[in-house]
Amino acid sequence: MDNTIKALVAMRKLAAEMERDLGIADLPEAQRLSLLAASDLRDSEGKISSAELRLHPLVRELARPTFFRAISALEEAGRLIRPKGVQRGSYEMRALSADE
Amino acid sequence: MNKSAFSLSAWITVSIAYAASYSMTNGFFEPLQNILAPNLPSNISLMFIPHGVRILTFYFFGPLGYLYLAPVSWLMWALEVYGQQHIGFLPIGILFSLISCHIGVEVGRRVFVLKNSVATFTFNWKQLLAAGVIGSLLNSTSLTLLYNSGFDSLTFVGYLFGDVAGQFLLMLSLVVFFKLARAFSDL
Repeated sequence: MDNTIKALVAMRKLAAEMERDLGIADLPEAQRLSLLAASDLRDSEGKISSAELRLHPLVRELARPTFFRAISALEEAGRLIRPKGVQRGSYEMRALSADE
Repeated sequence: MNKSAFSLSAWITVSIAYAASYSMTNGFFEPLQNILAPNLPSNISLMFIPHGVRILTFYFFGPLGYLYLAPVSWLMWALEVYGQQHIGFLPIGILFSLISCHIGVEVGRRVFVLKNSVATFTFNWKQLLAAGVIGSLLNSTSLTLLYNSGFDSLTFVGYLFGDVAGQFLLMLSLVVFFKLARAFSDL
């Protein structure tokens, strides 16, 4: 492979690491769609019904495992929060900023 | 990474990147600095982006970096000295800067190498920034001694800050560039 291409690949890798470390990396597609859907459904108190979320047009085409993996990842990242004392059925989220 | 073969496309890419970053520094950041910090000596730039181009070039291409960087470096020096009448810059300073950046990358490569061999070692972005700091320490020392009768700490800190800030901005610009490229390819 030409050295320029190798350098470009290495530069892309550096940029990706930096993007991730600085917290400005793009979300994977399924997480991005789930977050947008949740943002669309959230009520004035920030609550979202998980049943409604699964049926939202942005995410209903996603395979069930993909959808639930995305939701788990968003929960782990603190972008979706399960309300205290509630095991299932609803989530809470903060308002999305313009760059999300 | 095979660093032994000369590549015309790499040479052109490095030359354009260096000329563009130098023009950005001289055409935007220098006037801005003159407004915000008019008392600083004119040979110090607090946002010297070409330092990042030098570090990346030596990282990706090794000693070939001298061949890729020297012509465009002296061209930009000539434009600055003869075109803009910024007298006082010495051509030997460019050689000092290139050698400092090369040493910075090679020292960084040997300091940060852990499990891999030196030949196959790749920097992460923080290590590359640290290599840039090492290069800048040498560069700032040599340029401070070159342009002053003795060691002047303000000049030294100015060069060091400018080099490191410039390298960070360049790397951040790469992140933005790749993000935009992705965004446009999704359209």
